[in-house]
Amino acid sequence: MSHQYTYPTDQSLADACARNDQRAQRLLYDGYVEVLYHTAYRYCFRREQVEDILQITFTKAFAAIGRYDAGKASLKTWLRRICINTTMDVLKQEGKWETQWEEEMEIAVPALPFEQLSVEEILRLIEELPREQRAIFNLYEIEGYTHDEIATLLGINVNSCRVYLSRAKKELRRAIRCNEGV
Amino acid sequence: MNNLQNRLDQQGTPDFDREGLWQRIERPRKRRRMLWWWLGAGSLLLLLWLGLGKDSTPPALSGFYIGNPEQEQGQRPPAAQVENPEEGILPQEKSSVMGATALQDLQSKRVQKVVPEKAKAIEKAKADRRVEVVAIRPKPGDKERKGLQRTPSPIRTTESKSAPATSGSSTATSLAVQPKKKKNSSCCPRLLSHLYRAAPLQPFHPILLR
Repeated sequence: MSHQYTYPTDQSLADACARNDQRAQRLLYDGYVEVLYHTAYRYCFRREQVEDILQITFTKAFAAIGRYDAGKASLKTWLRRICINTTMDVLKQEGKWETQWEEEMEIAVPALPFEQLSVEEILRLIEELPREQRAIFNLYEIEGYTHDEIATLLGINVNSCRVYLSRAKKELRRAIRCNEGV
Repeated sequence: MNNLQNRLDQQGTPDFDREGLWQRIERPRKRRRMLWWWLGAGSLLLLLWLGLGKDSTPPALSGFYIGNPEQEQGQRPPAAQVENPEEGILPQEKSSVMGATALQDLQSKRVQKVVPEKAKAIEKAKADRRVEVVAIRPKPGDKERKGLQRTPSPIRTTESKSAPATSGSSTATSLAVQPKKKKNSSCCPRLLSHLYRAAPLQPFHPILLR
């Protein structure tokens, strides 16, 4: 990161940003905008919407950076969490998420062979998923959230969350098989 | 699946307007900063204006009479006595009425001081006159001794201005005239006191007090 020479720790950079230091704020933006862009893009795959999400994310971050504690999480994790929360708020505004029935849930889903696929291929497969499945797959498989956290974040039932994830995995497996067959 | 996350995060530079996005983030914050700056400057100016306004007379009180407290000390009646009968009067009118009332009280006190002194002077003049009349009045022994010799009456002497007495002693005439002169001068304070009582005292304008 370019800011590491001027601000050796995340806390020093956050403190400078909290003091309304324009240079520090620009350094924070330059250092993390790409990571946050990729994160938000995995959920909505629309450039304009991603830019809107990033604008809200950085505005929230600059407003709340005085409360940042480096002992709890890195600046990257802290910013990513703000970005994901903002993304979920935006996605929830698009429409109500339907509750899924438990009997549809697939109990055991074998691990997906993502190691064999390139980043572009993985993103293309995720993009083809429906909005709810995509969000829950990203949160569970990529960000590492638990079902309880996801259910709280999205305001849905935990079982519905499991069903969404099961369906997403089934869809991805089918898509991978199709790709291998081609 | 932290490995997958790292792989997805480290993909190529995304195609988006980085500078444009920064401007979008920064513009509302700049606007907010400007708003706070103007609010701060405005409140500072307001405080300065209020601070300066305390030193000079506020414009709202410019019509009020502000007298010299040293001069009015001890002469102004208690505020409760003055204000009670003037309930319902506007503040501006009240101040002028209060000033006029205080002035009237001051003048009536002066008159009260002056009138006893003048009364004493009148009494003294009357007493002097009695003494002089007694001194001029002829003794019964003298009349018998001088027979039909006529002595000038002090009253006649004073009353007959057109035909002054040719006979009689000049000293008696002069003595008889003196009380008349004194009487005239002693009447003056009484007249003044009557005038003071008769003529109602007009309230003075506050500027005239200065």
